Amino acid sequence: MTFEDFLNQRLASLLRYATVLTCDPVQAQDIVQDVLVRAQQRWSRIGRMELPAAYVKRMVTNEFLSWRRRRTDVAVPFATIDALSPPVSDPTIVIDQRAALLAGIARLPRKQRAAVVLRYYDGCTDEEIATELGCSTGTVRSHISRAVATLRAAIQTEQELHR
Amino acid sequence: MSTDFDHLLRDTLHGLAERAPDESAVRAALGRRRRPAFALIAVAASVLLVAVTIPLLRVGGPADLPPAGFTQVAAQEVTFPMEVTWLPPGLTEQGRGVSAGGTALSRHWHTGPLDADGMPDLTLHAMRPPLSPSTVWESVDLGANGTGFYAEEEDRRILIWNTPEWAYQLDSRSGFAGRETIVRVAAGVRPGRTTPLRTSLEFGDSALVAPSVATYGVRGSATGAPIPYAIGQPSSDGYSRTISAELTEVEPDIGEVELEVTVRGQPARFATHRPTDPMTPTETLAVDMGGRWLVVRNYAEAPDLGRLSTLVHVAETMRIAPTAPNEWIGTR
Repeated sequence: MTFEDFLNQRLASLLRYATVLTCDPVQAQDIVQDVLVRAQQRWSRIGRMELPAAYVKRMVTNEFLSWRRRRTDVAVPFATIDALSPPVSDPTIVIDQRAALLAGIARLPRKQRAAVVLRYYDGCTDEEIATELGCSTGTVRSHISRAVATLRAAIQTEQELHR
Repeated sequence: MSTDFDHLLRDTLHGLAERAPDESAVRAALGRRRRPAFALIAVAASVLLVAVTIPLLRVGGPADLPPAGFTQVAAQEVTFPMEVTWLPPGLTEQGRGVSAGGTALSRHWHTGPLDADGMPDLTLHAMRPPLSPSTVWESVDLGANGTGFYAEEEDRRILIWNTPEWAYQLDSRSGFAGRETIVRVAAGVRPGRTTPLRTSLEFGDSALVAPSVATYGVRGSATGAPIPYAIGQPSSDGYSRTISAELTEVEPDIGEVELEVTVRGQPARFATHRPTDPMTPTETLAVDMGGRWLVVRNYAEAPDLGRLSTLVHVAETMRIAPTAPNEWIGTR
């Protein structure tokens, strides 16, 4: 697979994945761009791997984890709420819940956030997440459990504010 | 509650994904920062398929018998067609490699012996012309060698130029030499005949390692004994990796040994490694050949104990000649 083939097949999904990880399209673009410049430089090796897409995705994950160490947190992207999927029966409540979730996701510790994204966005198993993050499945379950508790609390708080 | 929450979380994340930036911005940025080597790699790969231009002579003799476990074959001798008349102080030649068929040649200079995965301070490649720069390359005057094209990457600087017979590419590790030094080296490259590279290690099973794209060479070592090496790409579609082999007097540190096996009738150790980048191996097999070690390394995405059989087969079928002199090692 050439690098151009890879871009044609995977660039859009990498940008979507990075956007969900970072909660920030601008930061997502920076991360994907930095990763792809490095991947392009080593493509003679990466392109011969069985799963180059998985390797580059892991580069994005690792870049996100280290990126977050170098930079201050981005502002919680409330502006993204308007662009979410069309709400259903009670638009106000759903949007409020999503806003609370987005704010909560953006505040999660980076490994918890990555674990949540890999589980709920990518549909990965505990084992797959453990491999991606370089930790045990027990740690994965702990990350997700704590993250979900935090996010549920964020929704609960939002609901109480509207009573 | 759990199901509702899970659905809401999934919907929120997928909705967030819809905010992803347009890929055209990344493509444009990649275009501006395109790695010059990308184009060159494609060119270098294509030249490997061109007909042989460098004669391969047979040397070696019965007086220099190989130790047990070695397959008796003759070393191959390759004379390089270019001389370098000026080098920065402190550099000595520490490695040479040649593609199967002799259509691509490399000379490596370094301030000391090269590691197996180390990047030389300076490398001169010669291959079939022409090499074509992309628009991001800077045009430079190389005197008698005409016009060259210069580019900088994250970890190296590159200069290319063409002659009727050969296209040249000079690579310098970033942090070693600047633009002026590289240009001066390139301007001093002249046609000539070097003392020969004598290789003594070859892949023996063309069904496993594609012979047309293999590279053979020798590098210096801290002990002074030359280390012959071979680098190839496995032929099988299901095993599209890079694989290397070398013969060294220095016992390799392969980390925690996971399996001990017998290869070529000799004791061997096998270990897997989790790669930190694509330049580190995922599996290593080290065969104790009695005073020398045959080390086979595989470079994959993730370690796999199941690749032991493949590495054993590569080691079993390597063709090894008696060590031949390579007088150029350590000289300028």
